[in-house]
Amino acid sequence: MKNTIVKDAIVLFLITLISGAALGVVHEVTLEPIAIAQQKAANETYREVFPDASEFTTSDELQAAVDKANEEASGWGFGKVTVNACLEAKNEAGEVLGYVVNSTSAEGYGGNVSISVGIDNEDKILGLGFLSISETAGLGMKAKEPAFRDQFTGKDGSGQITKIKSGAADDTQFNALSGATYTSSAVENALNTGLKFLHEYVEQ
Amino acid sequence: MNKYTERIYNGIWKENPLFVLVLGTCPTLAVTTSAMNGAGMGLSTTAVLIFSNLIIALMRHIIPDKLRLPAEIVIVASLVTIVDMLMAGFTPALYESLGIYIPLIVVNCIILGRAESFAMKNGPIISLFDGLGMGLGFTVALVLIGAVRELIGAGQIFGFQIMPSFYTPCSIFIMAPGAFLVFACITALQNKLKMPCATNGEGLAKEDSCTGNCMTCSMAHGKKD
Repeated sequence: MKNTIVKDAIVLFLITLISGAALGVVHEVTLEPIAIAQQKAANETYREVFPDASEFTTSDELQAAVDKANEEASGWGFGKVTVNACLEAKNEAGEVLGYVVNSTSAEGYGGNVSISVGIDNEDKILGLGFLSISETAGLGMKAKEPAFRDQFTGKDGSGQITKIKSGAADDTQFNALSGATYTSSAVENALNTGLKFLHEYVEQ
Repeated sequence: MNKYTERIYNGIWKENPLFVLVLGTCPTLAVTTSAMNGAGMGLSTTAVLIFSNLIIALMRHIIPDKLRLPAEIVIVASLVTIVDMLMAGFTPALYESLGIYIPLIVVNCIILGRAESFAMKNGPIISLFDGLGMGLGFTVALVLIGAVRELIGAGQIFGFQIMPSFYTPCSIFIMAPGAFLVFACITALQNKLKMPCATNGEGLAKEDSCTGNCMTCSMAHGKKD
């Protein structure tokens, strides 16, 4: 039998080389559209959680606050949480109406739950949206439905927001999703992380 | 029926990848929590399967026999990544609903199974139709399981309320155990009715790619999830 190891190695090398080159080309081509698409999706969420603002901008100062908070966030008692970004929400005249804070809890049922919260200057929550969530369909994924999401609008964000399992939620409480304890806790933790960050690192 | 439409019929009914060949059960158990999820996974797999079958059939004379598996997995993994990036960049709305399934396709044994048992031995066009048929068969199977689970577990199908309001959804069906329950019931039914199935000993004819006897199957190594 002829030894084909050299030929085989060359063929496999060529296949991987061509595949690698193709991947490289596609990556180059799609890099910009992907960034634009993600930015657009994020902007849409920001507009949902802060309907009155027309522009969302971040600054080096806010980014520095985010970095500082992330060093300490694990000690806040909200589990594995991170602050992802903080943006100033401005109206057309350029006045700062409040902030949008993106935060993540890594302890959802299906991994990361990333939320975006809009908070005005009076610490009122204007809306809550999901940037990324991959919970169980029919249970945790119901968090994305308006029935759950919209209950946060108008809540008092000056302190902590806690979840309750039954009964009527007051200004600092929200109703957990039944059957989705992990998801509800993840939202609670991410939300409180965002609020704590805003009170202690941004508004001083 | 010409040989191309025969491949589609074959994939959907005669050799349905999930119910008859029992391939791709991992993604099946994981994503059939609702009919919509099943459809998403099925259609993404179909797209990849069509192209992987086509490319591998075109290259079947170049790929050395000993290196079939590494060559195939490189091609499939590259293809899946390319599809993933193209979708993320150019069809963000579609990507948002299907994106989470795309990376799962790399490890879907249907892709490798069809590459091994069909595309390596047949021409590109018929392989393309084989991929289409198998993909559609997988989609039908996933939607079916997803619909049953969604109906019992959430009272809905494709997000529309089907069950009357007094019905209390049995949540276990949309959680992991529900996948096993539904899949097992379908397999039991196939066995009872003596329908062809790889798990049903005498079910498959000899000329099929899988005879259900994994111990003596030359391709068993390529058929694991």
